[in-house]
Amino acid sequence: MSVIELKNISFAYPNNPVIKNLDYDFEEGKVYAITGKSGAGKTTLLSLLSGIMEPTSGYIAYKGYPIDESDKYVYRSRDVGVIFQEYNLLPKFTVRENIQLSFDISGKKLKEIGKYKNKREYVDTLIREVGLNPDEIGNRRILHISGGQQQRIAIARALSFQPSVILADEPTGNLDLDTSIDILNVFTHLAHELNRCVIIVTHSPQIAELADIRLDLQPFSRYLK
Amino acid sequence: MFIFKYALKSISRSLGRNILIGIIVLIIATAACVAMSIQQAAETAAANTLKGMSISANVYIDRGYLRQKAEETVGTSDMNELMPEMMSLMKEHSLDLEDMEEYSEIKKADSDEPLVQSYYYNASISISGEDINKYDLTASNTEETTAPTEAAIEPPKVTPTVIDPQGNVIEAPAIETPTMPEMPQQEPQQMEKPGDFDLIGYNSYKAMELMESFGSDSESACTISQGAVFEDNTSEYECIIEENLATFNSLEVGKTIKLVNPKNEDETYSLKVVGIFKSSTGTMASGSDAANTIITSYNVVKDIETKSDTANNTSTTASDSSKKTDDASTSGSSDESDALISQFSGTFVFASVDDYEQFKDEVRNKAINDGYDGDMYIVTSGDVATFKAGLKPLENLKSFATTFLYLTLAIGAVVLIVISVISIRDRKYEIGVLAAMGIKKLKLSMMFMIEVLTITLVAILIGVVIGSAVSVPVTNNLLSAQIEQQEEKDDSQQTQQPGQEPASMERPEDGEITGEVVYVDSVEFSVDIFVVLKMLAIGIALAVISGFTSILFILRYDPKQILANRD
Repeated sequence: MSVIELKNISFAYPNNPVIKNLDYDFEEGKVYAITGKSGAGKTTLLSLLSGIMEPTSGYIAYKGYPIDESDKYVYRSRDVGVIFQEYNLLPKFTVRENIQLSFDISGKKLKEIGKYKNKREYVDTLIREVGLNPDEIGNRRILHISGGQQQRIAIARALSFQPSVILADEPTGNLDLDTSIDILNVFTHLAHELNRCVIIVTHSPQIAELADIRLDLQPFSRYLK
Repeated sequence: MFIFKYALKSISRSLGRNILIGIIVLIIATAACVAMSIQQAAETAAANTLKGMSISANVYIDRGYLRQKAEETVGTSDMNELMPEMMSLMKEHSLDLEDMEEYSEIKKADSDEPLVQSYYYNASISISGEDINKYDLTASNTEETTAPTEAAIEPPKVTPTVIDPQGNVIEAPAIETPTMPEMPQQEPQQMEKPGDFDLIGYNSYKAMELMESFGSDSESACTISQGAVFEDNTSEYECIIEENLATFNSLEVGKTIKLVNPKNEDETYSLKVVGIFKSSTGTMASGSDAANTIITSYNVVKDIETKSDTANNTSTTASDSSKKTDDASTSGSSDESDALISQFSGTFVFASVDDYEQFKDEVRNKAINDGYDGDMYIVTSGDVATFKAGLKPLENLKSFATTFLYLTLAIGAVVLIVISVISIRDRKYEIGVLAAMGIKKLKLSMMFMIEVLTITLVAILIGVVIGSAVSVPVTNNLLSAQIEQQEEKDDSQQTQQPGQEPASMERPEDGEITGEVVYVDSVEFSVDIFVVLKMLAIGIALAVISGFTSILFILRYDPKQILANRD
């Protein structure tokens, strides 16, 4: 079942068209890997999918409804989890605070998520899921943890409100292959077991091969292959 | 609720910057608090003093008005020719007992209570002694050449006295400045008193307390040293005399003195001395010598006047002259009656300044209703004038504080806005991340507003504490400097050359300052709940101004661009 539909979308920076008349349906329960050369518009496509940017023409529909101005904040905070290439964590806040803030912004209740005693227990579970020890790292500020740890925290943050769609821009860029595979296993679990739609932008052929569907984005492409 | 939590966390995570903002707000708050407490202190001092203060006031005829009327009648501007007409007009229009009674019946504007709390009066006659001699006062008699000015003609000067609502004298005036050149102390005809003594009759001892500062404490101008005062409203021919006069004439309590009409030697009056008083100033409120003042009951003076009138009218053939004409021609006219004529003087007492102000309006309206100019009568109160003069340094300081407050707030607002703009620019990345995570711009703005508000309020509360601690000493220091300036100014005005016109010819609103001006030279407390509330209101206003500046920037930001230009 389609969860996100691209309806004839185009996007252009001033004097620089990037995406032209693109149509595609992303389905639940699958891991997508978007590959392509630099400048093909991979990150732009991810920004469009995340609702941070809007297409210059066409529209994106979530579960059949176009994302418009009024509900893009809800979409961004509750339905789509984004793992940015630069992590975009809040450096002065601790690991736990970064993850909990994302959950708080979504407005979801803890009981909607699972049987946790409190938010802290839930946040610690997320930290463990990305392979870190919450007791060790939970109260550290982002400034004081490594790039690899930041990347995992960014993943944990994106998962915190259990979105239907997970968008990841080079999520394993700073991780070794084994850890990358572990992270991908998390994504696969989310897609296959929890019926989420995971869309990963990557340069890595190994990661792309592990995805259910590999999409190659060409400049000015009409279709994804 | 999470925005409160994260706003507070955000403050603690950028402590250095927020402490800096807090210090700036703290300085502004402390300065504003001191300025406002000065304002508050001035208002409180005025309100508190006025609240418990009874006001005594006098009604005079405007000399300028009299002169104008006399000029219209006589057709000349020569003062010598005008004087009899002016005297006549003054006799006709001067306040008398009947007027006082009429005024005393006026009700307050907002209730049925009488406007005038009480009124006191006296009548004085210039009389000579048959068996007593005038006490020679060469050392203290300095005012014989005091010339009348264009100011109001004042009947025998009544020095106002501050009394509490129960009628007790609480502040005796220092009757020590009867020689101020611009203050007409006496009516022109009193310059040439025919008799050696002033026989003044008061309607009650209370009137003596109020009008002559009689009392038993050290601050009273007159105290009874032997015997007692005659009873109120008595018609018995009893009197009290000053101890110098008593010593000079070897008089003591129980003896009788014989007074005589200076223009009719056959007309004598005997009064029994029932008490001897001591005057600390040597001068009565009217400006005349205390030693040559004989005090008796009002009824006695009026009785003497009546008897004298009868005695002299039956002995003259000028029966066709009206009494008013006789009254008006007492000074220097060749066809005048030789009867003793009393001068009336009265003082009204009001429970509050508001009543006094209403009374001023009533007097004005009455003059207009009677077909005269509204400015014919002048209502003055030395209490109010003296009180206002005492507040002058504090008022000056208040005015300075108000300007300072506005300046501080304007600078404070600008500084806070600049800090907010810089702060928001520094936090662009954070704004981008939060926006990318789906937080609404409204919530984001609220988060920043809460931060600014919290910092501002904490700084203001500390500022109020510091401000309240330093405001009293600061206010008092500034006040003493102001008082020094004011005293220098007063000194320079008092040392004006005789005959030199005063800097301002404008008549003081509440009359001349009588007695010593006691400046309000200290404030006890100045920060109260109103100051705190005002400070909080100012704090919120400042926070909102700077918060909105932040919001304007936040609304303009595009998360994608912020994140793309992260470095």
